[in-house]
Amino acid sequence: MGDTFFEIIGLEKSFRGLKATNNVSLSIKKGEVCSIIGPNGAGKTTLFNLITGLIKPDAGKIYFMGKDITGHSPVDIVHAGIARSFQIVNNFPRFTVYDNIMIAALGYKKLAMKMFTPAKGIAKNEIMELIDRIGLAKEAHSLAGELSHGDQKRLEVGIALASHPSLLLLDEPTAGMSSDEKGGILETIKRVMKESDCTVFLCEHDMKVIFSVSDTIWVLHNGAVVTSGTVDEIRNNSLVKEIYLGEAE
Amino acid sequence: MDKIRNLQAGAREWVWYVIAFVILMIVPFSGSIFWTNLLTEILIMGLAAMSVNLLLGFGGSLPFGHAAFFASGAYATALLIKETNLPFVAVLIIAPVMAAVVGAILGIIITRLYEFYYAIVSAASCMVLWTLIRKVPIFGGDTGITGVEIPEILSSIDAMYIFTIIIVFIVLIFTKILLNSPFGWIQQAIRENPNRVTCTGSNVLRHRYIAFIISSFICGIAGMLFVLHTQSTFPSYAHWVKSGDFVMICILGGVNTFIGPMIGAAALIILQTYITSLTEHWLLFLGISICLLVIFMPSGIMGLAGHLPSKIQSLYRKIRS
Repeated sequence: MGDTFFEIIGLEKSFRGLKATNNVSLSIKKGEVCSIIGPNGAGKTTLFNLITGLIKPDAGKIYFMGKDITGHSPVDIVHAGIARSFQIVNNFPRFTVYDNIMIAALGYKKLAMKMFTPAKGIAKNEIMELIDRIGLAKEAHSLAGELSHGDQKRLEVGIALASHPSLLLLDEPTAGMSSDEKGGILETIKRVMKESDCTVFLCEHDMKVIFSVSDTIWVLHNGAVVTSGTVDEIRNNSLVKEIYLGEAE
Repeated sequence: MDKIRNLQAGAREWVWYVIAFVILMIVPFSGSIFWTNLLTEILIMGLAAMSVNLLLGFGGSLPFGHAAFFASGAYATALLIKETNLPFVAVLIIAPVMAAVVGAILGIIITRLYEFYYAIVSAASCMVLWTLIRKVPIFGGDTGITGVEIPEILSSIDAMYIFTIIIVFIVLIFTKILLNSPFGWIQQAIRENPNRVTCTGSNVLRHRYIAFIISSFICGIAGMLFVLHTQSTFPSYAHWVKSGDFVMICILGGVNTFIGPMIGAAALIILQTYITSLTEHWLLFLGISICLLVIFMPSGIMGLAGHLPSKIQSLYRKIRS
């Protein structure tokens, strides 16, 4: 315990008797892309919410870089080095792209209480560089709420990256995208991984996406881990096919 | 390029404030006691409304209890002057601090809440203070405190007016700087999406609490100025209807603009004064005109003013083509 980069042990969470997370244990190695798959309602987003502290687990432990972060506040968890993007677009719609990233940068630098310097001057180059990296340089001064869906998903990743995470949680980054857009955001994710030395924990529906980027895959069904393995192992796993295609065979 | 444009836009705004300041300073020399008095009241009410708008327009909350801080500032000023021998300058500092202390106490509960709960609990805590002020003898009961003596130098209407302008403009500049700072940006981000702010590593609860205290401090300054202006204070200052007035002024002027509350205060007070002089059923007409204003200018007077140039442009283009 504590030697691994990120580890969950026996995590449990129930909502009114429904076990959304049922004795989940998994671990992630530094520098890999770890994916979690499972049908709708398998408990993927609940797991992400537990990790980022938005909801508190009923039982179990979460370790990150040797520290127990179980039950810590979302703010502490961001500063510990875990940031996330959301499945449903979750930005500041009446702010520009630049301002969205700026808010996250201010949070990371713990400057929220600074009262007498103009915010616009802070970390300007750093913010523009990040906007460039997520491919929104042309849209830097457009309102976030007026971007296309694909660009809003990019911004979503950008806001998470502004927290300089060691572990980046991406909750369905390609949901609702066209296949062209998917290719684009995948390139972005791969590039970001290389450049910023962060480990990615990905939750995704699209199998093509999963198989093209993942090192390890965990399969979640009815709140419990069913199996895990490399891309090839999961691709040929009969149980996984059964979960996804039904038991009609 | 962007930097230059931002600077220009910023500078243009400051130029407007300087012009407004100069025009306001000239008013007393016109010799109209009526307007000098009216403008003093507008500036003070505008300041109180602006403190509300810091939480309303810029923070996305609905503070319905700011009369509590207005009254705290007012009563603190009256009592400090009447009951103690503190120098006047000390009173000017202690009175708003008292309002901030009341804000710090009430804010512990209020800032944990959102939406209706926030509005109702803030209105309720304001009513608790109202009851206290009426029942505790030192506050003078229903008759309030009258005959508050102010220093010789401020005793003329013009001097009080100039003093008000100076204090109000200092606070305006402070607020403007605050809103452009990281604190102000996070405050506005919380209005847009508090959960996302939490997930980017800023403490939303602490932020809302500090903003609440700053806002009550500014509202306390307004209460203090009002006592110096009228030399008396009454329990009605703490009534939630007064809080409602502040919110209405903000909505009337435009909650999404910095200067909106000032414009709203001017509109409401001038409307009030003129309609009162026309008919005894003035509340009826005031109500109707406010309904009409809100229906036809949903984003307030400043919101309409912001759209006006583009509307005129499009009209001009239509006429030409």
